Amino acid sequence: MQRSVSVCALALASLLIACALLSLVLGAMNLPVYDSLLIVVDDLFGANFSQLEGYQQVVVLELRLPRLLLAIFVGAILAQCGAVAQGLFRNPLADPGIIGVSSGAAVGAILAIVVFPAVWGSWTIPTMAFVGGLLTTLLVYGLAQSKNGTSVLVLLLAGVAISAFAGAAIGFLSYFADDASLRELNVWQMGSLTGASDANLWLAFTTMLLLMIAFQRRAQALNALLLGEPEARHLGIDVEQLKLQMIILTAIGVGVAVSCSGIIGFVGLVVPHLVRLATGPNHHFLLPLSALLGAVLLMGSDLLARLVVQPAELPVGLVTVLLGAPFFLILLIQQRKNWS
Amino acid sequence: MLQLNNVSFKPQGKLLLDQVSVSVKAGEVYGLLGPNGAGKTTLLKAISGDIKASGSIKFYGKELTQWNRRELAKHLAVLPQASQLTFPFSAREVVALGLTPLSLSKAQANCLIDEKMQATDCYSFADRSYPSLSGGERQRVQLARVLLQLSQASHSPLLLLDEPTSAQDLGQQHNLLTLTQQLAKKEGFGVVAILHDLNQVLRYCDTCCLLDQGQVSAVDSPDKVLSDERIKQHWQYQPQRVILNDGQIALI
Repeated sequence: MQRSVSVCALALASLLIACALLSLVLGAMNLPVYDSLLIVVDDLFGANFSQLEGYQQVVVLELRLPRLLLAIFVGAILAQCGAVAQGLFRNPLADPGIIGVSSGAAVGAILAIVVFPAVWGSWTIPTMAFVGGLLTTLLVYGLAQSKNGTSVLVLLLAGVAISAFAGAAIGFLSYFADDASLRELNVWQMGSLTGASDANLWLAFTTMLLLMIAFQRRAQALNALLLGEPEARHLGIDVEQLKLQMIILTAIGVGVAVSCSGIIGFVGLVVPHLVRLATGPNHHFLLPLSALLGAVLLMGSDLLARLVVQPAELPVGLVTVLLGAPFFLILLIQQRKNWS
Repeated sequence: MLQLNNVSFKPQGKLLLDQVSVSVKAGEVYGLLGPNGAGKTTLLKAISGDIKASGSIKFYGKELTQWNRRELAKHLAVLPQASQLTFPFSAREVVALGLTPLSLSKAQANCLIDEKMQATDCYSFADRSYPSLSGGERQRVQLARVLLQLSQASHSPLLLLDEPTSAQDLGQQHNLLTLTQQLAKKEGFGVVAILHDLNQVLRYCDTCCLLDQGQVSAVDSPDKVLSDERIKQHWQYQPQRVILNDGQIALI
């Protein structure tokens, strides 16, 4: 087990580096690898080694580098939140969106686009999306409370119901939206990393770091929770507190991801599933490896999104679903005998 | 080590436990028995803290609710009746979950895991995936986990067993109950076990408590509690008694 974890970690780290390099140099304008790397070094240390032209430097430093960093941070956040949601619901098919956070964020975003355009400038959509996601999660969590604690089943069903309601609200608002808002909403819902800026890079980076530390600290408790809630309680874990912490952290993670890059599906569902196939369900390894694979997958998808129809590009959320869904079906077909 | 005083549980107007007062000593195997619906599992859940019953449950003189969670977990453990796991942990990883309340170095932990898996006879399938194990094998893995959880107790620990023999074949039932008996005699464990087989109660328990309709009907040594009249009264069955070669009584 330990060996397969090290092999996986090494393979994923190499993939991450390779993907990052390709993302820097490939695109509508192909650039030399060595100089593209040097310009990043120049930028970090104020040196002057790179031979790139001024406009090429702009492409690397202001377009591709922020975008690939955002892909790494958002991919790592979504994949870890997926792993935690699947552990919390003890269901390998759970998705972080299951607690209503994505659909709530979408309602927030459409309110921002249709009803209050540009109240806080370019921050309107991200802020409203984040608030929408968090409020929805709190509502779903509140609905699942009873005097016996939080019912995971009610949490799941309330998430489904609230998501359906949010879907109707989105439909209602888009029905009355003008064509320009509709287009904006449409693009936002398919997810995109084009909005990478210093501010949201720092936000995504800090969130990723916070989640990594917080989740890793509770890895043993999450493992114990897989035995069942009473069993985890008998092992000395405050199960109610653990559930609340994990739900809030997941909501913050997905909320930040959605507000930085719109809705990106399937990363949170497929990535932890794949890692579990390789190294088993132990959260001590599952969480960091999911973060790595999530980063690789989103960066790779974004690269594809930029390359397939260049000089135009596809929304990255579309690519993750296009890649993720068939892949997931193949996994299901291979494993269905275990589930019958 | 464990004192229950007037413990009652009445969810939605239905009285499941009615003024139960019993006590369990360190070093004894304490059998809970009674017909279906008598309140055995409810009583075990009240002791393990899964339900909030009224009355007082003291463990080493301190109310259970006053205990620090981790400290309690080091001294009181529950072997669940049937444990499901959706995710494919290996048997060894399931045992390692018993480390949750403990603070041990990695080397100490590995050593203890090996020791407990050997004691419960599951070392040979340590690397197999838990969902692929048979019911009896799973139960032994869970027992190893629970023993690991109790391995740093500073007083004699209390082990709660919910129908521990239900998924085991005859030989495994005997091994499991012999092991719990040894834990009680040699290491001073208190063991509370729900058992259905009256012969196992006679053979392995020091004290037994007969429950019916949420009330304690009798508490004493098994041969005194299990009189013909009581069995007839509570199970509507008239057993025959056979004296075995070793002098023990068997009910058939």
